[in-house]
Amino acid sequence: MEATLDASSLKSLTRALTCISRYGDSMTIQATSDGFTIASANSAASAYCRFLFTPEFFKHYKLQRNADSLTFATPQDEAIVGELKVKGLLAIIKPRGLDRSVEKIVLEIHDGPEFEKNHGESSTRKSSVESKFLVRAHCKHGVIKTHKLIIDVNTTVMTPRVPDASTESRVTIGSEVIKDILDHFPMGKAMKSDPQLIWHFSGTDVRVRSLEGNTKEVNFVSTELRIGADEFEEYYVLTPPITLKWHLREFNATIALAESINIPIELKFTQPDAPLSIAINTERYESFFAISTAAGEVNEDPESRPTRVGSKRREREPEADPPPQPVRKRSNMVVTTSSARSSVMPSGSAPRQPDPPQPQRSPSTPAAPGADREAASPPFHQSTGIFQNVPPSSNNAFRQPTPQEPLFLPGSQAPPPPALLTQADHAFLEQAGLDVENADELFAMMEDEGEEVDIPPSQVFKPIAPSAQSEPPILFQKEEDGSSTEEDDVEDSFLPSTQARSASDFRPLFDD
Amino acid sequence: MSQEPNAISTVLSASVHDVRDLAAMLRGLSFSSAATMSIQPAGVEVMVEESRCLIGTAYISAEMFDEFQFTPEAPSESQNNEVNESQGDDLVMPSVFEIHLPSLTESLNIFGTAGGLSSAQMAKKRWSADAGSDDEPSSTTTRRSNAKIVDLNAQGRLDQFFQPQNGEVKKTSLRLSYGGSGHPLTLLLAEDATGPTTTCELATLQPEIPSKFPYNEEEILVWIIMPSIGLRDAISEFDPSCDTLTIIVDPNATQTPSLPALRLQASGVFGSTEIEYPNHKNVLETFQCQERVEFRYRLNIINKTLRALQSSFKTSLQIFPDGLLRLQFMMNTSRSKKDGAFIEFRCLALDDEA
Repeated sequence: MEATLDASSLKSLTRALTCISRYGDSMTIQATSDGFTIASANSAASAYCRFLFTPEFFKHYKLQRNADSLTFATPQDEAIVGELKVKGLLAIIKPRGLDRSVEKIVLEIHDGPEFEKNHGESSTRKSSVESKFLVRAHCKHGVIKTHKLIIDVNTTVMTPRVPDASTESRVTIGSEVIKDILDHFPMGKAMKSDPQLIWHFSGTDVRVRSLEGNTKEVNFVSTELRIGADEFEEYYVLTPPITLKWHLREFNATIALAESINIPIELKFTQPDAPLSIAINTERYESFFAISTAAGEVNEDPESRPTRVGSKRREREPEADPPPQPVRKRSNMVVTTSSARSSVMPSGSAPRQPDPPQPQRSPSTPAAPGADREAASPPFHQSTGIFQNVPPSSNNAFRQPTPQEPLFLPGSQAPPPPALLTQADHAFLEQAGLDVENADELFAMMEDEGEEVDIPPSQVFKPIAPSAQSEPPILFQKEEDGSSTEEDDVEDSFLPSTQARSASDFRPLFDD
Repeated sequence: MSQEPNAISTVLSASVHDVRDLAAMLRGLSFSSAATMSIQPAGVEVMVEESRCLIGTAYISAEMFDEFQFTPEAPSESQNNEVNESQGDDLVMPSVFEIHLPSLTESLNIFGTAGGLSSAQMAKKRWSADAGSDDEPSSTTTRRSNAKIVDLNAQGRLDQFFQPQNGEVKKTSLRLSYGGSGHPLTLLLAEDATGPTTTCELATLQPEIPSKFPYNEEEILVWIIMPSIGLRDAISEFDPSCDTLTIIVDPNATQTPSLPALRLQASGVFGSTEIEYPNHKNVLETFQCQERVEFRYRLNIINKTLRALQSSFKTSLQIFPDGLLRLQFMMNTSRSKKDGAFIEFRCLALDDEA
């Protein structure tokens, strides 16, 4: 890919990168004929953002695939996918906006071998098969500054699950107004603090309340604001009241972006546990944000505890009781572990005790209805389910890498039928120095090897591939094959049930 | 501040009404704490060494001082033997001693008016340099206005325009004296005639035997003179995680202008950065090179020169056989005679065979 930026598009790109850097450390980059896409999700996979820069965004945009590309194993697809460190790119791009001597900036993506061909005249460039992301700043008098970033090859791409448009509630609000609202809820000083707000959308107004959880702050102030529906440019709540809560960190990043370009933001949501989606579309680029939500509780009982009042428009509101279940901070430690294991091990070789058998379910169904629920499961584990796995070969324009995403385990590896080894087999295996009890283990070992050698990690997710390929881009639509109740049933048990169904031999991460 | 206690036996008696240029030069070497100071009739040489592969020398000429009076010490054999050897048999024996450089620079800035660079001011320097301005004196500020400077800097380079309205810029005046071997280096500092004065006495130590990276001017491979901004932007562009800097000079560029004449490459874990300079009059003022030259240097060593580079306006880059890199930075001084002060660095190349 080769794309040329001018000053104004550089500014937009910088803003987008600044926003994306608050979502995740690394981002997927993707170049297609539709444009250049960057996307990222946070480590807990509970928030996702994506920007699509159309070819018109750039002064010049050329997509050129290298036929003998080694690193991007998607020959049938014109897309170029990879993963970049956001901070690295931002550190390069950001100062360029201040540097007046820069005349233009060219972004290039090079596959390894192609890169060598282009620069064959120079004996100093060492050959490399790594794919590179180049930022080439052309300055005055022909000074050229070239930054090369190494692209991590990533083939696991996910996109958020977006609810059906017909069930969506839509509210549009000016970015400054929502900034004013959020200003009343200070972010914690600690780096890790990531407060949640409870948003109660009723028919006539919205009440925003800070979440009292297991906060350790001594002087915790509970704040509630009431915003009349007329403050919103558009206010359409399908089935009021709806009460949601979500984390602020990524939401704030989005608001900051919207405010910097002074564009109203449109929030779309259906119900608790379905993601909140935000779109900020400018003439220059399209962006999409999804933040997972959980059910919030609203207590109507007036209480005497003092509240802080945001503005004269907003009435004092009594404070609600602490939510009955403690809200844990998002923790992705467990999540990471699980996905690392499960994406490598085929089902047959799972060393843990198998779960009670679960019905093998359609891969794209997010959760089994009636699966074992855990009342104590953290809200943001259950609500991480905004992603869906998409094989890299699909033409879907937007993809998302979340290798530690716990919800999408290799469902492809259907457990092999239990087979017994004959006595002769055992003797043979013992001779070979293998200590296997049954055929499952043997198969598992063989599968293991196969995976390591020639199955790209993407194909571990195979069963999802057919449905994703056969469908048009699934990004903005609800799954066809999910049962009508699936949206309602994904709440508490989402994580464990997903674990269970992905490979029947896996134990859920959380014991009952 | 004119009287000097024991003026009779003084080896050096010098004064300057504004120490900022002096302080700026010394700060350029502040990456090392031990500095060897050599007082000569033509001025003062301050030398520091880093990792045995970088020597930085600030040449502070006598013209930078309002008054500069050097009376050579009576040679006392035991102390000046080394000096004798190192300086050759000059007619005048320089006084050589070692001092603690941070103490010296802090003393100079005791009133906060030596143009000490807070981080905000560093940022401002970058701003003003981006605008192509070499307006150092107006950008140096008093400590009292520091708070204001920070605010203004947040908005950009506006402070340049506001600065004159802050009133007169305060200056620190200095009288420097040295009584000879074994005596401390005495600094008498004052902000104005009516205000307080400060006397600092810095202990002087026996100098160590300095490293020397000799070179032969005849064998010069590359000689480039360029504006310091160009080089400074390049070096500050490199990611700190990069470990080596490769300098490639290609004379073929004089025939084919599309080829870069000078290339700086740095590569690290996360990627690499490459800066290419064409042989253009505005980029490389002088370009002399016969054959293609490529040498590698440690980036963290080269980065030591950044401080001096930032306060300079012109850079001379020379490469000698075996990769000895000689960088000379012409310093910005308020004096009209700009070539009076410069800092020179000599850096050894990495041995590629190793």
